[in-house]
Amino acid sequence: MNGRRGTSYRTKRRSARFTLIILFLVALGLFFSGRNNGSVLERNRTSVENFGSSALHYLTMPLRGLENFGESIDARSKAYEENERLKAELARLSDVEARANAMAIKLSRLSNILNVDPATDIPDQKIAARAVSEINGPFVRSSLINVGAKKGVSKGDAVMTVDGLYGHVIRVGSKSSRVLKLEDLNSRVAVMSKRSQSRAILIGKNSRIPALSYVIDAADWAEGDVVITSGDDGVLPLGLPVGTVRVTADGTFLVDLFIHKNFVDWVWVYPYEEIRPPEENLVELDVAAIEQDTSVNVPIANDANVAGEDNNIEPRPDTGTDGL
Amino acid sequence: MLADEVTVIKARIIAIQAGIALFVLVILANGTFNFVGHTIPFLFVPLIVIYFWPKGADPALTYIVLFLCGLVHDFLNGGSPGIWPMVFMIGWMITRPYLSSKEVGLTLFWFGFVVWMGVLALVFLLLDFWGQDHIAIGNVIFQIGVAILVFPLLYGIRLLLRNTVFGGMD
Repeated sequence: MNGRRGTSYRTKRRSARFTLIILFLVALGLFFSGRNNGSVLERNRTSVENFGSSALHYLTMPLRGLENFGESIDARSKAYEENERLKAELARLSDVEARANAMAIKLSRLSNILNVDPATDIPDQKIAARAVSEINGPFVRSSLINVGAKKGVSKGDAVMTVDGLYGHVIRVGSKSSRVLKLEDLNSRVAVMSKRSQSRAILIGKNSRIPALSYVIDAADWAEGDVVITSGDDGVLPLGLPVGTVRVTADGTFLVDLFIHKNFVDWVWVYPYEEIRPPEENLVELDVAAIEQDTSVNVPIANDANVAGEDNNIEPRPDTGTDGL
Repeated sequence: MLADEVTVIKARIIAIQAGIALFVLVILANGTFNFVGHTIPFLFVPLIVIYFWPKGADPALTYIVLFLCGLVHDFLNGGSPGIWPMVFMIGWMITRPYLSSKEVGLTLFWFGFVVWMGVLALVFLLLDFWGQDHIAIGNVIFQIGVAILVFPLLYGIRLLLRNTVFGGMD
């Protein structure tokens, strides 16, 4: 009996060890294949995200209740100060609105004179979503939102909070989407200073505060400058608010993101059609089509006399000046 | 012979039960919870379930369950697939020899968890070194801190469930 038990134990240990080795190798394989080619598990990933998004929506409801309770106590305790601040801001904004209306009329007149379209790139359509999972992990900073392709979200769309730019969509499922936050190590966004309109690239560092890189002239950037998207990358629209510049002692430009002013709960997605680079194949096709057109038209165009005769256009009389 | 089969089935059921607990915690760990102006990360909290893993669980099935739950964790938090299955399996391998000496009281059990988390942090650093990626060390420490703070709460819930639902079974 003991002998059989010993054999069974050894078999169990051996099978466990074998399972561990196989699964560890599979995990390693997934890790490296996922890094080099994200599409291997893409379909499974979006399915899990769709399920996770729905599950998290319901499972975290009690937590949301707690959050809202805490927030409402906090809001009540600051109600008086908040009211005073809002009154002051309302007074300031009334003046700003009057100026903005005057500017809009002026802009409209100028655009009519110059025949240009001064409309902003920021789309009018917004898709409201809830950030059901916000991950600030050691490897990745991303978020899962509960809208997907069914609601019109597509890859590359900008995601905003009420305070500013949150990130952009990197993967779209039918009911959920994965958002790469500005703080993520892989995030690169073309930005500019609202004051000097100097360009730079905002680079995520897997920390709360991303940095500005490719700053051509440091003199164009100063502490407190408001950073907005420049639209130069053709991926995000121009003018989305990002944050304010902070200069460190060693001269590095960091950006305090506006999104950190409040909890991120509700967000909205801007469906924006990114500007794609010209397609080489299309150009080749066009050239072929043009050549084909030309092959039909050229003989008629070159044969001026025939065309002239057909259209009853008299040939230009020879004045004899060419011979002088 | 029959007794052996019953033991095997029981061991598998225990592994699946623990797997369900891990799965639920993996889902919850990917939720967002904001507290006093900060988003509290719970990514490392599922590791507590691995530390609590029942000693009677079937080892082969345990590895499979850990692998699958780790993969779901990776998918939900948007990271490279494969990291969490490795962390879960390595974590269980480290804690497995000590499963039989669990009944030591909260303080010593908690202290063991702190040491175990330290070892896992080293595993993370190793994975980071392999992956040629930049790991946010501050973030890892913060996450470990949160898991350490949450530990007594889950210890209490486990104790409650063990004494009420499972009739004292580990």
